[in-house]
This record gives sequence, C-alpha cells and structure tokens, in this order.
Amino acid sequence: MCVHPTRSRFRPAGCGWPGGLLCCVKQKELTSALPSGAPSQDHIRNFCIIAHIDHGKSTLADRLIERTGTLSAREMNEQVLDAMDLERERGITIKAQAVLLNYRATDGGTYALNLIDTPGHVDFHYEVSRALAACEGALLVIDATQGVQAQTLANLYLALDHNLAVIPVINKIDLPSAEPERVREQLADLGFDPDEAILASAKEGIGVDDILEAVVARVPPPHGDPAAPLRALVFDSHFDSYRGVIAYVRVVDGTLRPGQAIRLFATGREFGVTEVGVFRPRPEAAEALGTGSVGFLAASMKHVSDCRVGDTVTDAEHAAAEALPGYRPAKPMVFAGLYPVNAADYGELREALERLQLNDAALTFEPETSVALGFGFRCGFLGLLHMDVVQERLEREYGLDLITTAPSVRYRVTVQGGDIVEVDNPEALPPADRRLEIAEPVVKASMFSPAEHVGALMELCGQRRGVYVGMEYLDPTRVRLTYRLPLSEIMYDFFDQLKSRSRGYATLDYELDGYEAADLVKLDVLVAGDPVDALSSIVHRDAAQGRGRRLVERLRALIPRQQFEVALQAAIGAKIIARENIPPVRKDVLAKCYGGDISRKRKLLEKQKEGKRRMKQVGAVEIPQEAFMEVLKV
Amino acid sequence: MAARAEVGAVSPWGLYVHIPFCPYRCDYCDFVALPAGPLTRRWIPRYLAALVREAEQARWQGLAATAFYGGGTPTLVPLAELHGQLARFVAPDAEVTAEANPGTVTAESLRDMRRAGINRLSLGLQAAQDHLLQAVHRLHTWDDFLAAYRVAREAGFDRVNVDLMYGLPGQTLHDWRESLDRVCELAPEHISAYGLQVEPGTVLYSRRPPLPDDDAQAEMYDVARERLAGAGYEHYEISNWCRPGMASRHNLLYWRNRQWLGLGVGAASQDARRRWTNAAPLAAYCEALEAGRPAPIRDEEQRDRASDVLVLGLRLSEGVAEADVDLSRFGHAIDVHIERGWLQWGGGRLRLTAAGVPVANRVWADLL
Repeated sequence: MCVHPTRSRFRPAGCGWPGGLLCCVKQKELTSALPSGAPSQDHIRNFCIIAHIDHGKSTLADRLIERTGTLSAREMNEQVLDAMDLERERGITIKAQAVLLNYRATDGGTYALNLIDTPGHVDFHYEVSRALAACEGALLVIDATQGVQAQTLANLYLALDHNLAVIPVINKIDLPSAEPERVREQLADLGFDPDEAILASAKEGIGVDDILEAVVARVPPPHGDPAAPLRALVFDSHFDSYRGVIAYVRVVDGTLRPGQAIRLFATGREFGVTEVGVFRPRPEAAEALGTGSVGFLAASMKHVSDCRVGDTVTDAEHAAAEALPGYRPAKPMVFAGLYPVNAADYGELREALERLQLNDAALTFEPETSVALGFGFRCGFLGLLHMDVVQERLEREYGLDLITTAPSVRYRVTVQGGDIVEVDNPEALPPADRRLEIAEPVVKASMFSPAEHVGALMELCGQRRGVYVGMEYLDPTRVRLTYRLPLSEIMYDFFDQLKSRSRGYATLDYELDGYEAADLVKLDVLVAGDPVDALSSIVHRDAAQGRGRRLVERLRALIPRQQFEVALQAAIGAKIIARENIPPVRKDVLAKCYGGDISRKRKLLEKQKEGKRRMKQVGAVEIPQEAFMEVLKV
Repeated sequence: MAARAEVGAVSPWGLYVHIPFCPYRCDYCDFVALPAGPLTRRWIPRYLAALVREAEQARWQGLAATAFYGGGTPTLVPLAELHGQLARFVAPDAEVTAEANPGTVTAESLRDMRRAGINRLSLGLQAAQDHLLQAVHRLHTWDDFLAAYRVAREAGFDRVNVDLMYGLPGQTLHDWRESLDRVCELAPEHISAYGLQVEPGTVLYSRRPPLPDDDAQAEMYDVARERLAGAGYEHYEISNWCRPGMASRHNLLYWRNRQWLGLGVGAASQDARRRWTNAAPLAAYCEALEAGRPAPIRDEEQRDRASDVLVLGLRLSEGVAEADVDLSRFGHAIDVHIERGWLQWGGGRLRLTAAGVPVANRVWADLL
C-alpha cells in the first residue's frame, strides 16, 4: 500500500504510480537529488543524441546515465528492466523520453543535464522536430568504422534547422577497423572543426567524461524568462491508465507547479496540475519545474488529444499572449475502411479502436457500412506507416482478423449548386452528373539528396504528377529539391522509391499545400457482375485504363478459383475498361491417401481451411484479405 | 509397447511392412526410401531381422486379415524369405500384396513369392511411353513392364494391380489415353491412377520442370474415369479402379478407418485410439530392435474419429454410413456442399458426387 504524501489539491487518492512501493523510495530520492528545489537556469543543459541507426546511440545514453550516478550499473541491468517488465505486464508503456542527469563538472558546479530522446524514426519528422525544439544542443554520434551515413546527414540538417549546438562524437574507436581520422575529414567537409570531435567508445566507457564536459561547455544554457507567464512545450505524451495523460514538457518561460491551473493553447482546454516531476529515469515527483527545465506533468487529462505534441502549456489565470511556434495539429491524411473478417467482432473492433485512440491523438474513426464487407469503421491515419502500426496492433494485441480497404486521401468535390463535400471513401463520391469538380490534396515536398541522384528523383516526381517548384544547391554536392505533388501519389511507395533511387541518402519532408482540381474518376471493380464497393478507388483519368487492367489481372491471380467461372471487370461509370475471367476450380484433391499419409495430409487440409477462414465472402465469391489492398498497389 | 497390444483387439486389422530400399529415387518420390548402393545393401539382412523382431514384439490379438509389402522397392529384398518368417502373424486366407517395380523381378523370384503365400502383385508402370518414364527417372521401359506383367501371370498371380500417373512432365492427353488403352488391353484386376503431386523435398520440387496445369490434370482425370468405366472397372476410390470384387482389401482398411500395424522405418500404425509413425533413421531402428527395445517413434497423435471417418470414408464410392459416425457437428458444412452439388445422401450413406470427387479438398477443408 502506497502512502505517497499528497501535496496538491488535485492529487487523486493514492499515489497512482504503478508499483507503489518503488515510488515511495523515489520520494526520498527526490529530496536528496534536488535539495533546494529546481537548479538555477544557467546550470541546466538540454540536449539530445542523434545518430544513424546502430551507430551506438542507446549504448551512449546508458553510459551517460551510469556515469552520472543516476543509476548504478547493477540497477541499469536489473532494476530498471524489472520495473519495465512489470509495467509491460500491466499493459502500460513506460516511456522515459527525457532523463535528468545530475553532473558535477570540473568547474565545480553541479549541472542538471536533460537528455531528451528523439522518438522513433526520423521519418516521424514532426515528432522529432518537437523533441529537438526542447533542446539547445545535440550529440551527433558517428560510427568510427562506418563514417557519415544517410541518416547522420538527415539528423544533422534537422539539428541545424533548430539552431542546436552540435557536438560530433566519433564512437566505437575501440574497434580494430575504426578510422577516426577518416571520419574527422568527413566532419571537416560538413563544416565542423575536426578538432572539436570527441573520440569515444560508449561500449568501453572511453570519452564519456569528455562528452559530459563538452555538453556543459558547448551547449548553451536555456534562455527564457522566469518572470514571464508560463509557456511549456509538449514534446511527447502518453496515456497512463492510473493517472491519465502524462505530458513531457520543456518549460520555456515561467514555472510549472502542482496545483496550478493550466490551459493548452491549441485545444483551449483547462486542467489542474496534479503532479510534476522528472525522470531519473524512473519518474520522481518534483516541487516545481522551473524555466529551462524538462520533465513531466500529469493533470487528469483523459485523452492524449487533450494535450497534443507541439502544443503550448500556459497558466490559465496568467496566460501568455502567444503560443510557442511550430505547432502542427496531428491531422489524419489518409483514410481506410477497417472491417472485421468476422462480422461478430464489430463491437470488439470498436472497443479496440477506442483504446488505441487514448494513446494516439492522430487516429480517427467513424462507423461506415460497406455492401461487400458489412459493418466497419472509416479510420484516419497520418500515413501508411501509422496505418500499418494501428492495423498490426489491432490484429496482434486484440486478436482481431481485419480487412483493410485501400487507403484514400480526402477529396473536395464541388457538386451542382456549388456546395463542396469532402469525400474520403470512393464509394461516397457523388455521381459524375452531379459533380462539377474534384479537387485533391496537394503537398509541398522537400527532398534533400546528394546531387548525383537528382535526375532520378526528378524522374520519380514526374511519374507521380509532380510539379517542379525549385532546386537549390546547399553546397556543390548536396541539393534541396522542391516539388508539389498530389498526396495520393506519394501515399503508397513514394518514400521507398525515393530511398532506392538515391541509395538511401535522400530524405523527404512534406506538408499539406492546399487542394488542386484534377481530372479524377472513380474506378469500380465488378466481381461476378456485381460492383464491390470496397474495391473502388479514385484515380486520375489518364491512369485509369492501365490501373484497371493491372488491377483485374492481380485480382485474377489472388482470388482462388471458385465453383463457377467468375468474371472480374474494371469500370468507369457504365463503361467496362478491362476484364478477366477466373475459371472454375476443376481439380483440388489429394491423389494418394494411405496409412502413412493420413496425418500429413490432414495437416495440409487444415492449412487450406485456415486460408479459407481469412477470406471474405462477397456474394458467392470468396475474396482473400490481401485483395482489398491490391487496389493501392497496381 | 502397451498401446500396441490393443491393435487387433476388436476389428480386423492389416499388417504393413515397409521396405525402404530402392535402386534409385524417382523424381516425384517423398517416401522413406534409400538408394540401394553397395553400402545400403549391407543393411538389408539386419533390417529384415529387425522387422521380424518388431513383429514379434507387438503383442496383438488374432491374425492379420491382410498384409502389404510396400516401399521403396520391396522386390529388392528376398521377399519370399521375409514373408516366410512373417506368415505366422497373417491369416491363411489373407490378401497378401507386394509392390514391385518392373526390372526388379524374375520368373524365379515371382514364383518363390507366390509359393510363400504372396497372392497379389502391384506393379509400378506410371506411363506407357519410355520418354515420360525417363523424364521422371524411372529405370524401366514399357517392354520391361510388359515382360514383368507376363511373368507375374505365369507365376500364378491372378490379382495384379498396375499403377499409372497423370500430370507427368511433358505428358499429353494423347499419351495418357494411350497408357490407359494399353493397360486396359492387359486387363489387370486393379488399376490405380494418381495425379502427380509435387511434394517439397523431391527432385521435381527443386527442379520444377513445366508440368501439365490443374486444368490439364482435371481433363486427364475425367478421361481416366470415362475410359476405365468403359472397360468395366469399378471406380471404388478416388484414385483406384477394380474388376468387381477385386478391390484392395488392405487399402480398404485405411479408408474405412480400421486398424493396422506398420513395421519398419517410417511406417505408420493406427489402433483404436491413436496413430503413430516410426522414426526414419535406419540405424537407430535396427539398433533399438536388436537391443530388444521398441522401434523409436516420430509422431503420435490422438485420433479424431469423426473427422477421420469423413476424410477417409468419402474417398470411397461407398461413402460414409450415417449409422457409423455422428455427423451432427458437421451439419451445416455438409448442407452447404449438398447444395453445391458436391455431396449427396443415398441409402443412409453420404458420398461425394461425380462433380465433388475432383474437388474433394474443398469439401474436406470445410468438414475438418
């Protein structure tokens, strides 16, 4: 039973931290770790570690935590991991996205170093940018055996975009194949003073002190006005079933305290702060988070969408005049129907989506009905990666068998009379004689690439109906290429194509840039004479013929033979533009089945049955799950 | 083994003896078989002794109603001698079959086998065209087959089966008709016709030569059904035809879901409750039996009698008797297939229809 002292009128009964006993220990640590409350502003350093994958980012982070005595080596191995396993068993994801390291520097001062993790993959561009916005400096880790890689560059540009002080660290110098001098030369090419680079081996603990000293000396302390009204940047958040949303914040101006009434700029919603604290790396309550500090806040927020990444927290009674710059609402860009294979799982699917949404502000869903697939939900996602993640979690964590229809963007359709309707499901497109115009969302895409791949990228953008905007040389070898592209054209494999045509070096960032009218049509698929709504798509008229033909060809290969011949047709309106026939099944039988064959043959039949279970009966035809996604891929 | 004591406790049972030696492995074969080079041949006496010990070990009740020497190529070993030692476990009026490949039998060896009590011979022909036989690395020709067939008749075998295959690499519909015609002319008592199936681990699987597609196989199957019916054969099982009364009694035990005891490496057995398979390594098998231990077992599973009866029984034209098995749990799936015209009821028995036979997997996948 936890007897965590309550310090706030907002604190709910009980301490609420999962693993109650541990939290009381933490309470004691709190008083010793921060004896006089918050550290002074000029003794705070906020930094992150950026690196190409496998260049040693997490090992270095572990070493820094260990060296500053935040956790002993034994605790690193046992306690933290144990605690996290416990959390996982309860279905809670603990995320120590910012760790406070207390470091006594050679100048005699004790510094609060906040190590902020950049979440996920660099492709989550916006989330990474908010984490970087919470920092003043970055450690750029480069593998001494591999040198500068594609992601090293992408991360470096991002850090420079945020005006971070960048400290290059050449890691893994203990390896026999290490070539630190070659990496120094590469750094000089990138405009660094090669002598600034720190030689290190995170694995062996070499150079860790130099890194900590460099953070103190080279990363500027946070500026910000302690007397100004509170402004704190939310750079991440997650839902905790005991305490509601935990927001990870960087206090830019003013002070954040328990008991304070706060307002979120973007949503305008107000809450009472129940607790603030820091991660060391386990959560520890604190009396306050001062100007320049990094930590967490809990305020009985029920939903991550109450407190979105990039939003600004201010004091409800003494509100700041302006929000911090850079907020972008997490807005779904692609929409797809999610249907249970088993109609009886509809209620379970709704519950699972509701639960996922608690922790995913970008996910939207509303009920929809398909003639072919029955009852399901039209869901909105940030992109296809997001969609894959959601679909996988629904299938794996909630045990649901799903059919996903091909994702669509949201079109704006002007109908007779001048009204504009938004359409994110091809089936909802008003008939041709009722619509005046279809406008599609367009993005402005910036691509960084080595100069030699520019031709290949321009060719790719041309194939995707891109309109050239500009090209600028950052230096003789690197180019920033800008195009306007229909969102629907970059939805599926554009990023993969971009990477493969630039040998992994090109990076992509895009933002929505309005709508453009385009000559779009609805491409329908008829199976055995009946249109299957879930196979419809909205495509450019010039591409419709080719897509229709490829689609029926692919479906012919995917749909197993049925008892009768099945006609597959692609149509625009009443006009059939492509046709294939699936001949009836004539032979599907085990020729031999004697005593020694029975067990094995039964296993084959069971496999066949399993495959059948994952098909959707549409009219008299059984259509496998994958068929619905093919619409996107042709 | 205690479990084996139950074999034969209640109903007639069959004895299967596996001979895992072959002169050469055919390209489509995934059975337990060892190419019989000089090294392998040295194992033969040890293996035959082990078979007899395994038979002695199994304490069953009554005598086997049928016996079947399969392989492999059983005629690579002195079968007459082996059956001489195993005959005491087999009823005097039993059907005793041996598989044989043309080219591995002589007038003398066949006479010996017949005299030892083997009364049914199953000859592997596969195709009547030598180029097709070569394409799957069969070692005999049509003439070799014809010679073996005649010698078998002379030796007194009045029950002969001929194995045929369709869907072979390069095989045309014309080739297939010719194979059927030539075999029908000989008028064997029994004909098996199997569609080629490419199993993982076979030479064909790795080499993947162009094969007649499913539609072509289906066509060949239809031709076989027509041609053999015209020649007076009863189509009593999916891949088996016989002169009236000449069905393989041993194989019927499998399809009627009865009990059998398998001797030898990789041989399967089934008693009232379970099905199990001996492990494959030859040395381990011989050593275990020489040491007085039971043969090592690879797989063992409890039987699901109701679905076994359906999956096996529906292979037979006689189908499955309503009285024989509780079908209530399959009710809906059965109705669906009756509606499709792939299953039918008649005289208290459930059967595949003529349209359902070539697509029986679709029916079974729903019934499992």
